Amino acid sequence: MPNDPTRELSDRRILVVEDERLIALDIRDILEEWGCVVLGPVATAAAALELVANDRPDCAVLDVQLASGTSEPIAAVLRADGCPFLILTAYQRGHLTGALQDAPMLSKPVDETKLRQALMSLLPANMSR
Amino acid sequence: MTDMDARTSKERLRSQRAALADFGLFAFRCEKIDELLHRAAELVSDAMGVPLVKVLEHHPARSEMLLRSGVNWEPGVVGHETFGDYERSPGGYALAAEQPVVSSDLDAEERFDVPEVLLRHGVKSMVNVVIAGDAAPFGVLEVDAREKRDFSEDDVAFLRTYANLLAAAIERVRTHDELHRTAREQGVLARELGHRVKNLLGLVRALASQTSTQGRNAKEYRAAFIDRLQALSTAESLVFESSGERVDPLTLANEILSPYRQDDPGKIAIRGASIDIDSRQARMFGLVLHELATNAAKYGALSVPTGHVGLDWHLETSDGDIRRLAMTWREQDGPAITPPERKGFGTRLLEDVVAFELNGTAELVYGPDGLRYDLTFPAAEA
Repeated sequence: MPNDPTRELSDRRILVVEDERLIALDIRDILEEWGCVVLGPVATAAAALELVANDRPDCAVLDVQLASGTSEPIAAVLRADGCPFLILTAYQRGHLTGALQDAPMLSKPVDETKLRQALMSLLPANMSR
Repeated sequence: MTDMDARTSKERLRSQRAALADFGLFAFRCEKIDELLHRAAELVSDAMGVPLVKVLEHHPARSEMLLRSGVNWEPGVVGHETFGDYERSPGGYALAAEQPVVSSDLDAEERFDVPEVLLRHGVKSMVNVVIAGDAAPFGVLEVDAREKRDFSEDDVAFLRTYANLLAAAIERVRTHDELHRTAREQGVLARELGHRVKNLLGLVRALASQTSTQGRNAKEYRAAFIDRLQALSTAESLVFESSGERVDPLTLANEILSPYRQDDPGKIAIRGASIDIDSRQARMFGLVLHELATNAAKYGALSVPTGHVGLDWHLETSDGDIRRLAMTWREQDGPAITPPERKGFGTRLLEDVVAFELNGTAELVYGPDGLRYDLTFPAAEA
């Protein structure tokens, strides 16, 4: 599919952190449709950090408010590790703190076009597969 | 009265009127009670030619009057010194008297005792007027002279007017503070509501994208999606209407299942306790019942005249006192069923989503006598 704009995303490993299960499955379906390999979805910072420790993603999609705490600790680890991430939240920019503060942000409900564009701009195009 | 006295009296009246006007202007701009009280004490001191002025704030719960504000007192007095509010204290006496109390010679005063702090400051005479309040008086405005002084009627009238002006200003600042606080709370509520609406739209999107188009024409897809949206909205409405975001699963079940029971309530026999679960659990519970019922109406016990369903739930307490809700949906006398070849949204919701969201266990059993669904999840009390 030479003209498929999402081909850049195929086989990319994307961590998904979202505690609302229906929304998590929605995001997983979208990413898998583009050929991504989804890590998770997980609902807690602890589960996400465990995943990241064993399996480095190429990028991550983080919800902010999780059932237990926020995804700030994940953001901090990903940043230290040089792993790009974006935030998908129902909150506004002004309510973000710490490592979440200046990350690329998309508003819920997820807009597939914007999500694809954001992921493509975060992932280096010439990354070796 | 000598000419001299007459002139002084006239001048004093003029300066008292000026003080009222000054304070009136200040009071309606000022937004802080302490600034207000301090300015009031300052202006009274100037206008009366009396150095020591104080405002006592009544704290009925502590039976106490706090020297909240004042001028020309020794350090450590203002904001710290307290007096009893009983009748033998000057402030307490004034509160009880409900009219200005003039004492032109404290050495001869018998109505109340003179507190030590006044003796220490050499106070010889005083006037006390009550500062009114909305429900109860705010406190007392006290003017303390270091000489024995016959306060005139004009002096007392001035203080009375002044105290009333002060009372109005205090009420104004308090109302202002209250409005500010409410506005802040409203802001937080609006933010939370915005968050909730966006999340809900995310859920609606998820319902739309996960309602499969396979094997459905556009009309069928639309019907399936709208039915799910309806179940979600029923659960959400109950959450919004409930107090403290708690919902009774019995109300929820009656609402969600009503289309399937309106001709014959026995089609789905509901035997569940009236309890309360939180908003997230209610949302899932509603979606679950909807999926079970639509599935039964299409393929299961509700698709044939003989079939019927038993829906039961009860609370269990085990595992270190964790309250759990155990629910069973049991279809009977329906057609023979087989597990679906492909796991659609319904199955996904009933197994994966619910177990995950509710932190519980969910199991679908395709038995020979009909479908059975078991769900248990922790249901903490509010």
